[in-house]
Amino acid sequence: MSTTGKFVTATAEKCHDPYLRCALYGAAQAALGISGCCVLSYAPQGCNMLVSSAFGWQDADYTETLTLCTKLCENEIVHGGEELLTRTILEAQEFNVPIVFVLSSCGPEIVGDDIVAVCEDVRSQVNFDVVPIQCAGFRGSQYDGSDIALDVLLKKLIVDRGQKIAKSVCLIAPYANANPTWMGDLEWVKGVLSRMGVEVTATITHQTALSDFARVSASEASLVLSHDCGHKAAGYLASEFGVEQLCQDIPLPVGFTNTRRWLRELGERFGVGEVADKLANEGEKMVVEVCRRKGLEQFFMHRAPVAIVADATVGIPLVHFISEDLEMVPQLICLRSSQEVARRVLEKELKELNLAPRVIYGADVYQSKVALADLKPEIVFGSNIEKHAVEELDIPFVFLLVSPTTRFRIINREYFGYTGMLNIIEFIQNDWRDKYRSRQREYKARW
Amino acid sequence: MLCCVTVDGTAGLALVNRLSVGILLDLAGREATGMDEDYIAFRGNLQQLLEKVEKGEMIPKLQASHAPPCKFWTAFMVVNGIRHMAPVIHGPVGCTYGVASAYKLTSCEYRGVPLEPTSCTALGETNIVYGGEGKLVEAVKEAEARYHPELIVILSCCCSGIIGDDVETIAEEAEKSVNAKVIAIHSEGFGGDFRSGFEDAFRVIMDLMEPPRQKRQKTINILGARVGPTYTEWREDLDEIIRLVNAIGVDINAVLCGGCTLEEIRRAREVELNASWCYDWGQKLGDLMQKRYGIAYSRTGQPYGLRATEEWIMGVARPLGLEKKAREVIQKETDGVKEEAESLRRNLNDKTALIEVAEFPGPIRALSIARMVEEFGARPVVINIHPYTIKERMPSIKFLLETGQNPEVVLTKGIFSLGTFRSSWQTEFQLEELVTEYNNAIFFGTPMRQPGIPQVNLTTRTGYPHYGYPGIVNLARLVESAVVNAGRPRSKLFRRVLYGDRQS
Amino acid sequence: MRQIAIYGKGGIGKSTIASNLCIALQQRVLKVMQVGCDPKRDSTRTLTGGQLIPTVLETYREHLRMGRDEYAIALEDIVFVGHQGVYCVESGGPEPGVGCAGRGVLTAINILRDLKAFDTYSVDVVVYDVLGDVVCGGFAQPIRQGYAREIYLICSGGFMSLYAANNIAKAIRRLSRRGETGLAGVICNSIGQDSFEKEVLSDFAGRLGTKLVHFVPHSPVIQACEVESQTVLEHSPQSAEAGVFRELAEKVINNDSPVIPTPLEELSELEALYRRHLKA
Repeated sequence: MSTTGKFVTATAEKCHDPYLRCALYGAAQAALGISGCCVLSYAPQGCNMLVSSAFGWQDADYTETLTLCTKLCENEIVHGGEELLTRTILEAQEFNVPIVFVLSSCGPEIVGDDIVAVCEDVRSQVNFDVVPIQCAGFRGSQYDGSDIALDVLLKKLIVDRGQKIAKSVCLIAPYANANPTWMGDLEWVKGVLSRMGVEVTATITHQTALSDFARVSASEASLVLSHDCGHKAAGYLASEFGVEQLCQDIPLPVGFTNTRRWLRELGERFGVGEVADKLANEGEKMVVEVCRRKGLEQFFMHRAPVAIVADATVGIPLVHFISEDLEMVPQLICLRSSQEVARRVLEKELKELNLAPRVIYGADVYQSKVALADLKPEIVFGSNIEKHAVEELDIPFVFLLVSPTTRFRIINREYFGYTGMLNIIEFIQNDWRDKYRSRQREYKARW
Repeated sequence: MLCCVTVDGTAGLALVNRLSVGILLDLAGREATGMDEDYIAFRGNLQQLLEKVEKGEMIPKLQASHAPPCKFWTAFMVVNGIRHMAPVIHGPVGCTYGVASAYKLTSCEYRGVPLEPTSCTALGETNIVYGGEGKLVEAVKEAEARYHPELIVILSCCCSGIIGDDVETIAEEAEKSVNAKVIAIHSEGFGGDFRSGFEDAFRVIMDLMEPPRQKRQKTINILGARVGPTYTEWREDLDEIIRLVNAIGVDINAVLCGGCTLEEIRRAREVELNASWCYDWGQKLGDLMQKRYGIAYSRTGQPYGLRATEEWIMGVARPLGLEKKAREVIQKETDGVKEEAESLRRNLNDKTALIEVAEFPGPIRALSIARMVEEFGARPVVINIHPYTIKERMPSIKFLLETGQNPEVVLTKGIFSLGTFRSSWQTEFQLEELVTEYNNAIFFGTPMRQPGIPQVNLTTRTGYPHYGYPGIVNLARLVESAVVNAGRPRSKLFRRVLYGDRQS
Repeated sequence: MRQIAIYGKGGIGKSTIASNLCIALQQRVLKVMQVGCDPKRDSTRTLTGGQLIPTVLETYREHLRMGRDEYAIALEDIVFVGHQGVYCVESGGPEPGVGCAGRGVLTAINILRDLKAFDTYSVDVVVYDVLGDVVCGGFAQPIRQGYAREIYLICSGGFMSLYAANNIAKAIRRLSRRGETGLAGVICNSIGQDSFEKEVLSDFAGRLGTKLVHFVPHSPVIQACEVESQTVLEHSPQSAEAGVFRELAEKVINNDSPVIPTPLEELSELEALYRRHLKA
């Protein structure tokens, strides 16, 4: 096997069947992670559906977090809608919230409505903070929108304390992760940090209190929990407040190697290498024992040709895990985004593992379907989009690890760390067995 | 509301109810002084409500409440019902992925539709500044090469609508270089209410209809469907309509646009008659086809209950000269549900039926049910039909009034509250107060309500239709269950989940 | 039905020419409609005795507020009968500095189409009087397929008016490749340098592939009429100037050769052309 993989970068195709939502959605995700806020979309009513999706993705609670939409119509586009926006912000006083984020959409940004000025003008008349975020859909994908919003949040809400909290870290963009219950990953990260005696100053953002922002600049370090966005925010914190970004060149902690490496880097940085090793040793032992006791079925895994169709956050860490621990051979990797940082990490990984799959960055549904049809792997790690896409192809297994999924998941289950491995193995085993379930009965019972 | 249409598992949770703190405070304040009529925003009949809405009164606070999909979403919904159709959405990825996850994928999951493309031009900032027409032409060609569709539909979004890209001309131009038929719909989200998306899409689709090669006897189209993944469109209801139509000896050319082909659309003018699946959305198309092509249109309400079902069948049979056969079918079917009809009469007679189908399964069904319960001896009172709904469904409401349906209507103040409108949250306690005004009342609506009176669950999708004769069986079963189980306490778990820890 | 659009640099006299042209056409027993496509909404001022008529967008806005769609608009609310029976429509648009005037024009024209305004009034000639310059897609709406087929560029001897006209010609070239739309000619609204203007504009028009179809002299009579909010043909029907507009109408009616224009690609070319005549 050669080490030089074939890298196919998505060119700016004319006709694109996207895996991602737009910037407005990403910005709404970031904003809705702040508890008790109100997100006002300055948009036609359809865009509010994106905000509703983001609301769900952030596990927001409607008894504390609120959404509003100005429902822009022809009139506001032709004549400008600043007056309507002003009125809506004033009305939001009824909600009694500490902060209102005003998210602008394509329409008002094209006709040049000045939401920053509107927010500025109305500020003195309201009893809450008003933060404008210019995140029109045409500005890019949801990851771009998230970066835009994180930038605004950090610049608006951080107070420079000048003093560092010893052994502290702030967590960035945990929601930019296609694990449908990514909150589990966040919890796992917080758990190991706590075992290492590292304090989490703030999570930007998930159930974040406004007061948490006061501690961000005091963090010694930052951890970006996504390969898809958040690096700009980490860069800003580094240059502005000397917050050092950790683990930026290695995959997130999925599988034995990735997790140990990740834990070790944290351990070394915070001078708790022993704790990190202990966590890794204990974790690996636990995984091994559980697999032995529960009877891991590995028959279908050995050297099975595999495709990964995922976001970078789930997709890149999976490479090491499934090829090293599960003995599969990645043939195709379709990533929904194409961040420079993520590419570097993946390319390093492939070299290290001596793998040469076809890689498509910024893939759309068409590209991934065609590549799947072309390479015909046995196993696809993906979403139900791929499940439907490969229906007519001779591809036996699609393991549904990535959003979107129609499975109802009420318990947060992480992919990170050791229980995370078990979660993934459990999903794989169930999806594998599903394939063999009887679809029809051979004959009728007599009773 | 957990029966969400979005595919992202957790995203569906966004559809559950929202709190309006304002209302919470209001209610708390009012409770101290004892609640009276001041939670009522309107009391009258449908006609009076319509007049108020037409005068521009009854406008919900700002425009910030009750936000259903925009024009783009509804236009897409219609074309999503055409087979081998490739959309080229002339806009950014957000609009596109939105409808892909809400409609396309749900079609795959629940309607047996294969994965079809939801493609777009992925407009970015540069295209906004310099225009996106060139990219659009290329995209149409690429869509043809990739998907081999029979039909390509260009849909404009806010961006392309504002910068003024001429989608219609491009459709004409691009058609010359592809095998597929290419049409364009002006569907920019701000460009009209959600009704206009349905209507404009149907209007454009009508241009695909070719002059009839022959008239096909005793053949009809069913109009107004987009039996896609929406709450209010049940495959089972459509199956029942098709069963009844076939029973009287009539064929169906196409269900527009619920899984029809381009060929069926092309031949849509060969039929003798159009009938409506949902007069709310089908009416415009029916009227236009009548006016333009002289194809008669059977304007009847939804077949809820014996009388409306009979009218629906006769509406099709009469123009086709099949009254005799139809009467036989009606007689036979009616005899078959005698027991259930009797049960409905027994359980509903002399009761006040409080009907609230604010969001699910839709206000037009609420009005159809109002008519049905009257048939079985109850007095219908429609509650909390949203003024936006009246505004956006004006033609249908007027049609109902023309046909003599003018039920009592009560609106409580909660539906005017600020925020993302979720009826049961904003109005629950007002509803609970309202029901105490009536003796011997029965509630028709969602189980997310806890009115404390017998409660008919209209939201189950257990594979039974509401329409036609199986509908009578199903509704009789639901009403019976409401009466029998009236005394059982409702779940405290559900209540706390929906409304928090406050009590009424 | 003939559909004519008048484009040109802001302040060049488009509305004056359009209104006089409309009256002249109307006097030839044609039914004429003038559609002002400018948020300033004053295109038809001289046809309505100085009164500003309600605009399409204003009326539409009111309908939206009441929860009605465009189809609920009565044509009488947006189409007004001006002097001598010329139908007058103003698109209207946003206040300066806000909103999207282009989208406004686009919307207003679509409303006219959807309400079948031209059929209803059996209009023979529609004259669109379009805001100063084509700045975005919306302003090109009147020259898109199904709308104006013949486009006239109004110029004077001022260099910038040629510059604007050349830019508009570029837009026309783009759109006329698609349909039957074309450039019908250049009309000079003189600033008083008659021979220079005739020469330079004839040359310029030739370069665009068309002709200088008419010359409207600089005249105090026209200016006086403007102040009185009247067309020349009504205010001073016997004047030589009135004759000029009658001639224009004659030429417009007989003009049957709209072309795909060939605008000058570079500013320097245009400068050279202008400079050549300036020296001569």
